[in-house]
Amino acid sequence: MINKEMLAEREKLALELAAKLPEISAAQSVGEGTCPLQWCLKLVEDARAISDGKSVMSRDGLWQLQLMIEGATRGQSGEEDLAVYKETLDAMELIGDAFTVKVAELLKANLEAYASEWDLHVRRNRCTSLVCYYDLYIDPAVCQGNGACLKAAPSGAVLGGAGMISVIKNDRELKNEAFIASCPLGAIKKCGAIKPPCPPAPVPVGSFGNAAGGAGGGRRRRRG
Amino acid sequence: MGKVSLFIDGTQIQAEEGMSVLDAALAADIYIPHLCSHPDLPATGGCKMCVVEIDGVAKPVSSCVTEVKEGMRVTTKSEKLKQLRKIALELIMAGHPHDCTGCRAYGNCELQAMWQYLGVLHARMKDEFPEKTTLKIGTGSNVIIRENDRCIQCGRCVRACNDLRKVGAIDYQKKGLETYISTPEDLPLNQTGCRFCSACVEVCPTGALIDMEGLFRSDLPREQALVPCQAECPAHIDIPAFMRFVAEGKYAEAHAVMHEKVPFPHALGYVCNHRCEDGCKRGKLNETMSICSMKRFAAEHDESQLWKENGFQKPDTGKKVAVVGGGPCGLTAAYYLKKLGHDVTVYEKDPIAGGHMSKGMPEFRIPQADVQREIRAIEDIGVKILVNSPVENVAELKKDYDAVLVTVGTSVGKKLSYLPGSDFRNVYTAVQLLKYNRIKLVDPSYEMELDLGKTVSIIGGGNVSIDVARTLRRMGCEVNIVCLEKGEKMLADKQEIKEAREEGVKFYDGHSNEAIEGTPDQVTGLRVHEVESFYFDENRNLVENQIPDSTKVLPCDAIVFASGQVTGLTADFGLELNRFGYPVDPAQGKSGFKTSVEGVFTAGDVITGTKFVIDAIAGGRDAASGIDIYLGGDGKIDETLVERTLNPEIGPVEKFGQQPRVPTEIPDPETRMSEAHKWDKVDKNWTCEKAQCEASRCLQCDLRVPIKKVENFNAYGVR
Repeated sequence: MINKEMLAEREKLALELAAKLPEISAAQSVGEGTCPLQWCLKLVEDARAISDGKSVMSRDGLWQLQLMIEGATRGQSGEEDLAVYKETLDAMELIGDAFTVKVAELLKANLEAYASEWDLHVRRNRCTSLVCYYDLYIDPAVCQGNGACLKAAPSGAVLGGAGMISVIKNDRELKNEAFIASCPLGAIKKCGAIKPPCPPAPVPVGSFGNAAGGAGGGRRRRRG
Repeated sequence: MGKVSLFIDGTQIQAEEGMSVLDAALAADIYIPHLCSHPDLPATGGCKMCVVEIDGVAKPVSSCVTEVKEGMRVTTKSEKLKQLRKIALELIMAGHPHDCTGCRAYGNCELQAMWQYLGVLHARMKDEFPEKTTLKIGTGSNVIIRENDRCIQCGRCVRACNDLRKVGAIDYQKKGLETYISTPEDLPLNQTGCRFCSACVEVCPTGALIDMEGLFRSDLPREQALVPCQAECPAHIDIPAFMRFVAEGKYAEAHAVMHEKVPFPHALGYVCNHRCEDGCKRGKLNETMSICSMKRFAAEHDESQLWKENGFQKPDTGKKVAVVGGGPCGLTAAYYLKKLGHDVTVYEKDPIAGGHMSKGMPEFRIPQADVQREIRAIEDIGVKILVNSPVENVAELKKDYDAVLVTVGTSVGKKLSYLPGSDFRNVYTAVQLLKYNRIKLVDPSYEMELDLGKTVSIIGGGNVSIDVARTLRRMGCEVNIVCLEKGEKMLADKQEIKEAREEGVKFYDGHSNEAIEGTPDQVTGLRVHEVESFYFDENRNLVENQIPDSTKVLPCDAIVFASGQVTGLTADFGLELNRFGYPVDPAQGKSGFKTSVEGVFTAGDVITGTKFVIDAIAGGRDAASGIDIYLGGDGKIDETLVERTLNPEIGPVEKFGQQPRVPTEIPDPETRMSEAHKWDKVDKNWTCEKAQCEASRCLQCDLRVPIKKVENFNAYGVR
């Protein structure tokens, strides 16, 4: 039974929603310092927020894309997931409504423009923008041994003492903005694959050599 | 509507203009997978299972929302389409639990059939469960069970509720980023406008919406089981139709609906044991519909007697049928046999016909005038009723007739002969007493030797016992009821017991009889003792746990046995009987329609033992049909006396599920027992306004029957 009025209404809504989405060029150039996967994640979340969720693509489709992108930013997606992601986008582009087709086009454009970054995330669990994946270290040149980081961290995660350069022993529970902000001097820093030199254990402030190192930059060890 | 011709996978088919490609293909026995579309609901193209490719169209389209066009060339099966369907189904299943075997829809689930058809499993997509926050939202009721985790948001229920019913109790809702289906603000259904028609359950392809277990009988065909009141009624009265007519104020139409199945709707409205109400779906929701009293209401407010206009009457067949016994069974059979064209004579042994309706139950429960009016309608179509005409030998009678139907019922009261003193002069049966009272009210000259004295003890605790007790109270006696069953376990109707107590009947429940005291000429009392508990052993002998030292004598001047009835037939009647006095069919070795004499049949209580008026009527209908076939007819007695249309668009009613049953009016005991009103009917029924209010509570279960079933892939030739 075809109800043309109802279908026309749905089509109109899809077009209205599609108009609220960014242009393709935005997906291809997400801006300096922004992780392209995080851009995609936000796009899908925003899309779900405005979607009426009445068709499989606008409901489960968008949700699944969100879960897949989240997986890629958390080390929970492998290459096979990326393949399913692509298949899903292809299907959505073919049989979605105006709204979900536009979402699929944006995500495909992003995937194409940032192929190496997607590959880096999925295969190596690395994020050039240091948003999805990073390590933490305490810059020995900045640390004044004031103990603020010790208070902010769970016991045993950071070693140090009064007048000693703090050393991160285990950063697993520390990767959050609150801990990073706990140092008034900004000594807690993110880094990529290569960690700048740090003392292996706390040493008195000023006793560790000229510390320097770019965040995420420098030489990369090739793996895999 | 014009026809168009199109090609589906190279096969040319014809379709109606305006049809969807999906419907056209299915009609041509070509399967296209589909999940969210339903033949009774507007299509949305939401699930993408039905995508097809059309020559000249760039992208695949949903066939359920694509109109057929002349010359259109459609591809329904290709690798590309299969891939698209798989992706869509995988997406749907990502939000669905994996435990098929734990689901009540197992084996009856369209989603399950779909993944079998497409060969898709939960595997590649990411499980949505850990993320879902709307899983536990239950908005169901005792009638509709809601398992939100099994919902695939296909929206069929939403369309059933909104487009098919115009109720709008459920819709797509959003919580955070999730879309789910629920009531506004997740209110329980009985706090919304929900009418509990269960169309949502009917169209749900999975186990997300299911009927409460035990709502419908599983031993009946589905379309019968879906309307439990009608299924439970032995005569299968179309109760939902009749309720709708009352709700609309069309009382003559309502009365006609009942007359399609029973010639005594008014009488039934007084005394039916209403198994319909036991089945009523509304009873599981809050309180059952008041169906029985509604029959009486419609009968009393029918001003046009519309039912008499549309009935069938076949031409005379020249065959003669005698009916022996003018109770509800015999009169019902006589009525239909006459309509089938036979010449029918009813032999009634008493001065008035009507059986238990006119002689076995008291005036204040079922007024004689109302019973006789319905009997008169049977006479009006030409049935001859001979009163005061007992039949001594039915085999003799048969010589003058083409067929004889014996419907003598169980019209003789039983005395418990093992009880010492049961043969004393002032010992009577309930049948004797009630019959005396009823006939006397009609004919004051009617006499029977009856010496009740001041106080009467009644043995037995069923409805008949209560009837006798209340009658005796009105005749001026003090009354004791003595029965084995105690309190809640008493066999009589709770309402009847309550009314009897109000009228001053004393109950000795949990008591057993030892002996009737006195002399053969005058009863002086009933010796009883109390019992803690009792049961019947494998030989059906009573075993009681007596309370020690509880023996006492209830002083009384007469005893009435309300302890069962028998046929009263003997071998002189001309039929082979079993040892309890019931005619038997020698071919079957037990009681049944046929007897030992060719052309003599039985129906009603004389086969089944004492049952209810409605059973007798149902038995009478079957017997009329059977005898008509025996006489060369087709046996068809079903008739439509009033045309009706189902309006599926019932609309919402705020908090419909909470509407209470509307009670009928029952005057206080003082008024009931006053000299001027003591024989008046106790139950005063309703005003029109109240009756309409009660009738509109009906869930209209029959609205669900015409909703079409979706066929799975294996029902189609090309799949």
